[in-house]
Amino acid sequence: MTSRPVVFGPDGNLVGVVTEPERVARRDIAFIMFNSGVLPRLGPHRMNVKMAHRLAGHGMVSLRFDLSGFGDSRVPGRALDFRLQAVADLRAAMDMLEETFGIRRFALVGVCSGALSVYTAAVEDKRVVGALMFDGYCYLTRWTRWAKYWKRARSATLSEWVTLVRSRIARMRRAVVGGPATQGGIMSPDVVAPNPPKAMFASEMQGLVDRGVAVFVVFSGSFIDFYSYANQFRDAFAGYDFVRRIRCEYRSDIDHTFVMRETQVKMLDLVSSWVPEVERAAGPAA
Amino acid sequence: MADATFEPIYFGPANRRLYGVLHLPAHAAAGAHAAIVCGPFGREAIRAHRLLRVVADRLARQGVPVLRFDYYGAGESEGLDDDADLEGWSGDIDMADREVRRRTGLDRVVWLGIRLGAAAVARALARSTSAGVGAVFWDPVCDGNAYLESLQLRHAQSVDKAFSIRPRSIAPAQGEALGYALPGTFANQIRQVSIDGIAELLAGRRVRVLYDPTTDDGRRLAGQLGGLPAWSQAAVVEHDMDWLSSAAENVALVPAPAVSGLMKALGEFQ
Repeated sequence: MTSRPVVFGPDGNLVGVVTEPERVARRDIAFIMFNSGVLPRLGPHRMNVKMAHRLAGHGMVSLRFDLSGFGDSRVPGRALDFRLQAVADLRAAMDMLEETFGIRRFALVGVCSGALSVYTAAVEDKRVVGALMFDGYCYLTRWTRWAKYWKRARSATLSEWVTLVRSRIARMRRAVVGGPATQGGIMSPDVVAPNPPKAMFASEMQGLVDRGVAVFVVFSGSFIDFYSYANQFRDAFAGYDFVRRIRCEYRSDIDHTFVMRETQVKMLDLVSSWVPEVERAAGPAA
Repeated sequence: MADATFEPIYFGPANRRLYGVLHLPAHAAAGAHAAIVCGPFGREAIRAHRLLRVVADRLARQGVPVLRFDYYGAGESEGLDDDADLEGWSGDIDMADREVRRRTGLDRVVWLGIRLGAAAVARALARSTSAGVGAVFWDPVCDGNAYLESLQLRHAQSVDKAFSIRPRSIAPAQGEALGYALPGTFANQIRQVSIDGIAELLAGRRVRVLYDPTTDDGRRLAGQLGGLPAWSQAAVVEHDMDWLSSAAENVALVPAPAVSGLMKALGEFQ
């Protein structure tokens, strides 16, 4: 396995590291990882580096890079707004890998805010054959809240019961006074980004699966207010064709930032299990 | 300020390749030192990443070449978390020193040691015979046992907050803290880190010590500063930065007092 630094982008402002396995299984596919929130391209607790090592074990090339203005990457001369710039940067990464390494198919891995960028880039760029979105867009159902209450009740101590009842009463009071219902959004308490309208999201996801993209959505056990039971995503889109054709997992035993090595290994195992799906989506080796 | 270039590199032997970023001025200042950044461990390294990039950029624009690098098994360098080893890291500092001298042609280098990185710098200084080495210690870890306890306490707190409902299947952490491995050898090396005897270690060296007297480590250090050689200096830098906080939390990524304190201290070697 070798790692080499790359500098790319229209302004030469983007910095990353390409990891190549000793024996490359597919020369036409690369996995791309990038920043989660404000963290550098290493990922939470060096997770993207570990992911690159794991992917190399599968014979897969990967790139981890810093989006404009994060980590080692600079802001370009004419920067777009954050969300648009992130997608532009992802396309620049794909362009670089295509021009330098001859790679034409890409699997994008995004965590938290990164998941949103993966979604948009996958929709816009047909070179994307795999999209793994961890704690990205999610949609509530009528069961989300009840599943949450049930799980909290089952696990609560007496003092936690008291706190729970008090908070529920307070919330009911707020509801009487008036206030917005929780609609779900990006899976972070620090960053709120509204979901795309449901119909639009469903339509774009349908487009991805019709194109043959290996879509994998994963939800952690860190945000029970927004994702509380295994079938929530499928229930939210029951009746839509795409939801039967994507992979969706609720991993309440994995936390949002992989603060334990045990949860890091679980996430890496998920990525490993997804690799063959990406290979199938990419078609026969070029 | 003049322009500077920015070059990510890998250096070192094939079995221990290290990642670094070279910030090179268009023209090195006359009589300049180069600088190498010997960063903290684990989450503290993530916390400091942006800040150190800003400092390196600014130094380079002032004519000071800087090499930021990652220890083996950390950051973008090769190796696994389990390869963490303070003695190995002190050897990585020697490698980074040789690399920056080779690339710049300069024969004087200042080693910036931050938090546990200061302990690695101290180990490397203890055996270095080079006359052209100075050091800046910023918020050095002064009591290895206390530092390990703080890592373990913060790890337990982070795990408690990590899940909405903690799974019963999650095992208590052994040999890790805040997402990074703490192999036994490494943990034992950390336990031995102490500010005691720092004055003898620094004898004959030009050293600057930056510390925050409002922290436990700062208070320990303040008690030892009287023993520092006359040519070494200590300065207070209060930056309100919680080293062990996640970079994703709402705290300043690049606190101005830290930037100005580091710039001033490193500038005094020029």
